[in-house]
Amino acid sequence: MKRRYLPLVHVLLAVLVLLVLLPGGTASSPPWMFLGAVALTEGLYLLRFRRSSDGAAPSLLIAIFWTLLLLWETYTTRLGLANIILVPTPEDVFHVFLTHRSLMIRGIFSSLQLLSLGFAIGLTAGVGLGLTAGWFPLPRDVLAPVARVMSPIPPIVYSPYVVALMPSFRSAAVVILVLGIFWPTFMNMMAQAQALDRRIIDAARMMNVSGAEMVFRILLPSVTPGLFSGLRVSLSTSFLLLTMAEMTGAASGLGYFIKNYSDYANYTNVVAGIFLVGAVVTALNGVIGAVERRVVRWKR
Amino acid sequence: MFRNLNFRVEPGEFVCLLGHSGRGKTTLLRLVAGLDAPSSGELLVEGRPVTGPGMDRGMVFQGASLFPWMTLLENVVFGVRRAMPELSRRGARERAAQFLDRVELLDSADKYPAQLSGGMAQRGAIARMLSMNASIWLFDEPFSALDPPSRRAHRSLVRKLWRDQTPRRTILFVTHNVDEAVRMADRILFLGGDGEGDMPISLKREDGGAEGISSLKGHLADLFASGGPKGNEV
Repeated sequence: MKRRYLPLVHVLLAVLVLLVLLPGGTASSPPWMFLGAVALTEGLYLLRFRRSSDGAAPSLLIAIFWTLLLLWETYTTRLGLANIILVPTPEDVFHVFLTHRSLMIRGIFSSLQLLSLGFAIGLTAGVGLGLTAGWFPLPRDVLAPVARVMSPIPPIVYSPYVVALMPSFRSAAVVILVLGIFWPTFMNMMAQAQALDRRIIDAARMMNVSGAEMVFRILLPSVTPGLFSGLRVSLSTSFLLLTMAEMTGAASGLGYFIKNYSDYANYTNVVAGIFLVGAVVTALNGVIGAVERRVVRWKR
Repeated sequence: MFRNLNFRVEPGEFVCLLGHSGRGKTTLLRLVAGLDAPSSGELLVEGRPVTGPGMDRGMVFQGASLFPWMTLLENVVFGVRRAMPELSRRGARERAAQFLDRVELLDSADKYPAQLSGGMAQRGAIARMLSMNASIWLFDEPFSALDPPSRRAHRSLVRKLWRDQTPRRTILFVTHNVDEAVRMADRILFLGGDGEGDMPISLKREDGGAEGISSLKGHLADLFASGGPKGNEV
């Protein structure tokens, strides 16, 4: 009986909505953006609920989520205990998504631009050199010791120097991202290429496959699953690097949005910025997951 | 690995390479395939020295060797297109389907190798080898991981494929299973265990009758016993 979860979840939801709509709250912004976010969440929950077999996990998750929102709402708007500067009301936080939407959208595009540039360069170089080093003994013997020294250096320690060295902040951010993506990708691809199933390679050799064909028709498809699992780690690393970098010198971007408003002690906007980063990372992970499911559907 | 190894296989002959594990059966097969190079000596295939793999030789490996990111049909299409690059996409698919039909796998054409049983995967590898139109078929213990009934079925499938093919293909079939060798081959090369270097002992099955088979089996069992610790595979 899947449906037995629905009443509890929706009682919580009703209490939350009532609390938001009843007069007497101390929020200074209209509640519509907050309620919109609640409605979006409810929609996602119903979708998950329909797809899951017994509905227990999504229902429990959403019940916890509604409870947290209830606590937040009650604490900030009804009890009068909260320091309203440090702990903004949910209405105010979600209203920022309306009032600062163009700044947020510009921030997303600015960050994604740097991110995709860093990914494009770091991944191409990492996959290319990593596979070369995994495949041929000479490049491996040359590059592996370099990698052992270079790859454990946290990329963020380069940032003060790289920012001083590069002509602009954006180019510096790309260099740091490339450093953060290249080494893990290189190590991963080198290990993948060394661990290839000999029989697959031999079978291809028996059919006279060699050279570029071996690389693009045999080698790359073989390492694709490993590449994707590395990609998820790379994504969170590079988001960390990027937002950290944006907090130091940028004039736009998601990290800049948060850092800038925290300098003005506008923590309402800071909390909204944190939510925005969460939403963007989740969306990117979703895209990677969808591509992965398509590309490696043979793996089961 | 070997010293003084010297043997000759006639075109169209079905030869089993038999011997204990570690006697170099697989190594020998890989030399013939051109996957490895001999440190000294000469290996001729159809009168020409082997310098590397070629489309004149096809091989079925021990365990899965199908490309896991391609469906069964795409795997065989890959082989077809290597052998006949001039064929259209559609023509290649039709031809590949015929090969799958010959190994009784047409129903599973759109499955990925991970979805196939061990026997099905090996038959898929056989179909891919057939698609290369090679004149020499090399088998490296292809059915050692299968259970006995399905091993028997796969043996007769290979015999049948070999009989039906004109001109007759030459088969080198590596096994450590005496029964398998005796039932399948026209001639058995027994590697090692005779105490006189690595000259293989060549045994020919003169008549296919039950008596011939059992006397050959007895003889081979003796050879196995004298060639070191008796394997449980005898």
